[in-house]
Amino acid sequence: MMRPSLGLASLTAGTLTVAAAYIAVLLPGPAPAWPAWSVALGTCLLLFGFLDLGAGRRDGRPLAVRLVFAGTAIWVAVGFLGILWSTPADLETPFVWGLPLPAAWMIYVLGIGPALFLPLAWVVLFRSATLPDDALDRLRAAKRAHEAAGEDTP
Amino acid sequence: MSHALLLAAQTGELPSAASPLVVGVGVAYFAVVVAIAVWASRRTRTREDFYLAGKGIGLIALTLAAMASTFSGFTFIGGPGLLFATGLGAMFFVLPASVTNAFTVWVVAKRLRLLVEVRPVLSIPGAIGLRYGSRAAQGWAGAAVLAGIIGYMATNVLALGLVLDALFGVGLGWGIWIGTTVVFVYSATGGILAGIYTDVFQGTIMAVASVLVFMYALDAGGGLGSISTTLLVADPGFMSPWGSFTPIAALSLYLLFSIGVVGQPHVMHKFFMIRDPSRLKWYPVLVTIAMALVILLMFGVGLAYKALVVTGQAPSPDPADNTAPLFLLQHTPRLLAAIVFSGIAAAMMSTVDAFLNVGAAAITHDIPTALGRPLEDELRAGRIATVVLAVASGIVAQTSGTLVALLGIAGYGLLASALVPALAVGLNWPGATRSAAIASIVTGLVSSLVLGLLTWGGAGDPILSVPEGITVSAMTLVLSLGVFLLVSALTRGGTMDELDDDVRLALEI
Repeated sequence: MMRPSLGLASLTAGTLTVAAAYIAVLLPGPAPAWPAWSVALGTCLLLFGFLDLGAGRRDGRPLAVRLVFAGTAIWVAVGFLGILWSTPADLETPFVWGLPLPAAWMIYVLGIGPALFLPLAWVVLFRSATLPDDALDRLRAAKRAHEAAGEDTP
Repeated sequence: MSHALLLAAQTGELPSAASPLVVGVGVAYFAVVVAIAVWASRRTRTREDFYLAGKGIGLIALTLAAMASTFSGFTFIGGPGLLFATGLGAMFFVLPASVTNAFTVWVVAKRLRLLVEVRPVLSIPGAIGLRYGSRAAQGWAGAAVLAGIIGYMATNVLALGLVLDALFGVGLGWGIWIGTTVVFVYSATGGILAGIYTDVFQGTIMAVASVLVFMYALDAGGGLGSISTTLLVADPGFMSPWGSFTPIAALSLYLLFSIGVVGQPHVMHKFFMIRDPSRLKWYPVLVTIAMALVILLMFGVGLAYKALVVTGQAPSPDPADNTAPLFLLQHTPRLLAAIVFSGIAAAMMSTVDAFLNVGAAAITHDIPTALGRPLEDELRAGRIATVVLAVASGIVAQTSGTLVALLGIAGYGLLASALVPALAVGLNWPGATRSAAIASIVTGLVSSLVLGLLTWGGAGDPILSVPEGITVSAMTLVLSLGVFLLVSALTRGGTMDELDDDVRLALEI
């Protein structure tokens, strides 16, 4: 049964967006420029969709988690956009920490940026949004109840 | 040569590194691995020990084992070579590492670990079978795992043979079989416990050696700014974020390697093994740091060696996969080079041992369960299957010629396409159905194999070429995801509503 959710909608939209890009490229004739932008957008939608579904719990998901995921998707999108918009570098191009600006944007913004907050968000939200203190006790109690009922274990 | 082919592990001859010091370090390395195998074999008494390390590993072991199994020899050999050949665009293979580790724990790791709290799940196909209440889904997933790992493993075995030949000068054939024998001896006797703890040893060496080599690389090129300036003058396209990739091809790599990671059974399988699920709290932080350290080698050596070549200070590597070995032999102390060469062999062994374990589980547990004929002694059968798989991959590596490259390339994409929808969506979306899981696994498996063959030229031109250099694997991943969503919308059966209360709770906590 289909149950609508933001994560599922994002996943579906991301799949369709990337699929449209690939179909456009596979069609006869010169490939248009927009499919690259479409793959960039679709990837961000897919990342958000998977994360949002993954963080779902029986009692929903805290707003903080959703904000972290939205922030991640936007950060990655900004990383992609910066590269897609960049012009070829030359010796006049500003250098940032040893790399010309477009390359620096790719390495530092897209490559390193999410690593500075996404894993830490998991740590900070672990007890409140991922695995509460009583979660394992509840799970083991449910298992005992299942065994006591004598139901078959697949 | 397509960019995808460059992803394959080393398939050309490496420069010889054989010297008494290198041989001594290599022998010492193998002695440590054998000692770990002996220790692990004494602790492997049940099938849970063999496949899940008795669900008793700690956070550090999980971190280093996952990192070592993920990267294989790619970051040491294929990665620097790819960066040398294609420019900065090669970084799109590894840039997703900043996202994938948190992505993995949020999307699948917690669910997988909680499932083994309530049911005796041994494998990723087993988790899929439990989620959908379907032996067919488990069997198809097991078949996809086998199809995906056999070529991947053969590619790594071939690469291992080349590295051992470079280390000891024994020839490729002997290199393949020495490497294969060492891996299957410790994998068959010590199961995944031996694999995990050899990975801990190997992962530690990988991380430390990568940092040291990165520092030597920057020093050899006069610092990152100097390297960048040199390359910008000589080859501005090399320093472009896309390198020689088209934008859509590079972005497709990001898509494949960010999302596809949750379809890699040899990595996901390790989440079953952590002693206490609460320990997952620090996992993404630690593994992201570990991966970042290892990626430094690829980035530093690829850039620095290119700068050395364009300024005439170093010979051009032929093939490009020789970039890292040549740099190590010419620009680092011999002891460090010896440790890294051993580390390269170790990285490949760590990937092969992980594949052997999940492959053995598919043969002795998942497929027999799907056929309604579970085996009585799965521990003994697992040991035998490990040996059979190792010998088979050695034979494929030695006899299949360039076909092994195709199998290796197809492996990652096939596993991602076949398993990501059923696993990453199915464990989290109550409405995902049994038919959708089976349809997406079959779609991922068949489309990866068929399109892989059609777009593989071998020695000649491919039957089909994908415009813009887009990897077929990204297309098959999106295709199987679309099939999964569509079939779930159209069918019923196998939704979370039908699960036992405790299994459902494991997926909803």
